[in-house]
Amino acid sequence: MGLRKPALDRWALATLVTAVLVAGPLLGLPLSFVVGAGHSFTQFSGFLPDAVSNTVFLLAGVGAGTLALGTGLALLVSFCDFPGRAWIEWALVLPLAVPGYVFTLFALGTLPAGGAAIRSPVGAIAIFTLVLYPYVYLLGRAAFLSQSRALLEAARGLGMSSRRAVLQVAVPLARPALLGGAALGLMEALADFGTVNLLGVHTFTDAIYRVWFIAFDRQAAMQLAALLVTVTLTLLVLERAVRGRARYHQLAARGEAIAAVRLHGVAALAAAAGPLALVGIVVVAPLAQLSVWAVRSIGDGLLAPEFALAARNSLLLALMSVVLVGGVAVLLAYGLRSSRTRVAAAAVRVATIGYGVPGSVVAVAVMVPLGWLDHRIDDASGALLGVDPGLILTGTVIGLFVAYVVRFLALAFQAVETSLLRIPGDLDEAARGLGADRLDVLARVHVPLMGAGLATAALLVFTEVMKELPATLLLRPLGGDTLAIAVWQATSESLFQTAALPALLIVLVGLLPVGLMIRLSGRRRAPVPAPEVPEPQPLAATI
Amino acid sequence: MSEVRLDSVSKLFGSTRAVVDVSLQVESGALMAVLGPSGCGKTTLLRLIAGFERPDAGAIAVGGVEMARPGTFVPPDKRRIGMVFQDYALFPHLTVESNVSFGLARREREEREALTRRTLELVALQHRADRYPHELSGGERQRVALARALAPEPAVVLLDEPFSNLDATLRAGLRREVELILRDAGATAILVTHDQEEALSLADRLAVMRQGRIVQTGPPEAVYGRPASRWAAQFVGEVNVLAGVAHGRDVETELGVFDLPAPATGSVHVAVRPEQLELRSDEHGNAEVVEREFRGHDVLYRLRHEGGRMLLVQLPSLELHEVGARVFVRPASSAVAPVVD
Repeated sequence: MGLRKPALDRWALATLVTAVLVAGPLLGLPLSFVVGAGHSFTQFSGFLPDAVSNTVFLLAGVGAGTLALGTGLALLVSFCDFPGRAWIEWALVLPLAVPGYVFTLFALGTLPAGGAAIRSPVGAIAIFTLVLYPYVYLLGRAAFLSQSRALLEAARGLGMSSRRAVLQVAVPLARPALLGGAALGLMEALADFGTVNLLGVHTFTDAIYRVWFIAFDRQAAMQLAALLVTVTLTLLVLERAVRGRARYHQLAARGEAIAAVRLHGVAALAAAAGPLALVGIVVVAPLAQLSVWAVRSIGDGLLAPEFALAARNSLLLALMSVVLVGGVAVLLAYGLRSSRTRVAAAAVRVATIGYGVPGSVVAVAVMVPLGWLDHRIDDASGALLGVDPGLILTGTVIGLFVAYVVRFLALAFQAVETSLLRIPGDLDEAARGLGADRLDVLARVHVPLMGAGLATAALLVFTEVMKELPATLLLRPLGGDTLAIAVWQATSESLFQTAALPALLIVLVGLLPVGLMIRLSGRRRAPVPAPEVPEPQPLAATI
Repeated sequence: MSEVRLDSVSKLFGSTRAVVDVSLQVESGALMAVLGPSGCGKTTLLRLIAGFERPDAGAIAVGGVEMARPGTFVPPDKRRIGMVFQDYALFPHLTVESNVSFGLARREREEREALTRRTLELVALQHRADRYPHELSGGERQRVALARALAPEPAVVLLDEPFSNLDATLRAGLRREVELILRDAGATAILVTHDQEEALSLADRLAVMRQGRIVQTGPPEAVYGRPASRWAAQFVGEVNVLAGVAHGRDVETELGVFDLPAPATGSVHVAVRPEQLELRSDEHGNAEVVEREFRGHDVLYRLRHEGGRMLLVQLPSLELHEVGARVFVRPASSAVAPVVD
């Protein structure tokens, strides 16, 4: 009978091992319901109702908010031309550099009555929407710009107004990208700890933090974490299901690029002013306020003494994570492409579940197996060598890196995979036919064509590690405070001026990669050259 | 010596039998066309030869070296094949020159440069060496794809529907051009196509494929003139299938007597090509013109014979018959009609 593809080849095995290492700790979390159940009183059920209702409300609000704002802005810059569009197009990406808790610091410090108005779930939704919409915006814009003008013209020819053509043809075609962007934003919101903690909104992440640190109930923390992993998994499955149907996306990416409609008068003014006001509120105003506070804090000697150390720690962690996480992401994406087995596909899905999982959960999850390993290593080393190395995994920065890989792999992987997917398979075959082995294909075809994807992956990981708070908070070795931790600590004590300088640095460092991305992406992509004739006619008629 | 040899090769995808027990030989320097309708397995056949698919049974040899048989599999990069893809698959990030020299990475620099230059000259694209694929016309892209495949001097060049992405007006010219380039290079080539005209005009030999099997091989004129089956006759060109009674070297049908290419006796069916019939105006003729397709140098008539059946007749466009006219149709002088199933 027919020999199927082997279920497991080398690449599939590589992705499988990665998946087990990366996602194993997370998938082990549900064991906390079984192992040691009834062994001690747990506060799990006490924290659960609040966490569930607040988290669900938050997700719904942030999903709707980012989709509306991100899609609207992407449509505006893709289909309309107005004075300053070239700048505004990129200015709209800048909020990517402002972490939620930094914006929260700004809002709490400037709003009247200590920001009482935003210390609510609705306030959290507003803040998340403002800082997370760029995910939807960026992916949506890229999708719109890759669409073929012919499709919109066909719709116009069938009697649709240009507005209806955009809404009924362009938007549905971009749906995978838009929903993908929203999913990324939601995962960020789910993972956030700083914003909700500072605003006093009791979501899952906040509950986990409180039962772990305040109630010292490890089991309840793990159980809450396990539930949150489930929510993430659901979201991820949804996102994948949407992307599975993204193939019509490719079909749309042929022919001439869409042409923007020139706006005039009030419309043009509004089109420019709206986005500028948004960026003003989310980026410029916080930067200005933080600068004022920072200068004042230096003058008044309010700066924390560990500031320089925290800055150095942040930078080193971020750079090393880029290499590490990027490397694993390339391995996974390439494994998936080369193997094409179900095992590899499943392994990749499993390996990338870490993103929506809050840093605190990741930390809780990796701490258990790493701690176990640590003690084994310590014992073995003590017995065999007579040396006592201490806790070399959980006691050092290694544990933190493991957590970062678990947490940010999906982010890097998505960027890498998207660019890899855009490389047609027959390029691989053409290269193989010309005598290139798999490594050659990677080095000579894929890497050059993936340049933008790799840069994006690096940018995203770098920024995220700079901003990351809860996992770093839990897993940092002694003396390992980062800028993010400094901001959170000072803000929670209402020391806004002390928090300002590290916050400013986080935003500025975050702006650098955003700027780099803007430069790398250049202006618009050149339209894909149209094939001479459409597809060959099916020949069914000849038989 | 045969450059490509397939022995009883089969390939299944799940339960779909894409290629079934195919044996095929392509001689050195020959241009073989594999002709078949979409989905007949011809592209799979090409991919098996290239090494992008593994056969489930049978053996494949390229350039005298065994490439695949159960237990042995040489990966595509070690096969010395050159492939021209349907959409060319040019590397978008490389110039024309770098595309062409892609397969020469392991050669000495001087050799690489010389081969690249020579191949670019062969396809007359020296002046485009620094361009990127998206800056080229469709015809130029195709020549780059061909040059890229030829540059490493492969044992065989495989072309997968190489003209299907091109304009009809470009197609005929490029077909000739590609044939000349391949012959200039002395390449052995296998071309897969669903276009009968392309296959007939381009190839030295034809392999007609249907539902995963090769149903006939031979020079184009033999496949056209002596189809092995009614299906092959109908697929390779237009045909009338007539019933008749064979008496050794000829066969008697309702239209008259045809020569048989091979002796036969008894009641048979024969395949009569439209150009094997002729007609003249005759008010009391045996047929009526139903449709006339004017094709410039010739005309294709669709007639209703008095027996009720439809007939196709192709004539030079010297004299035209109107639709509705009565005509007398009969075999052209020394018309030949092979027996089919």
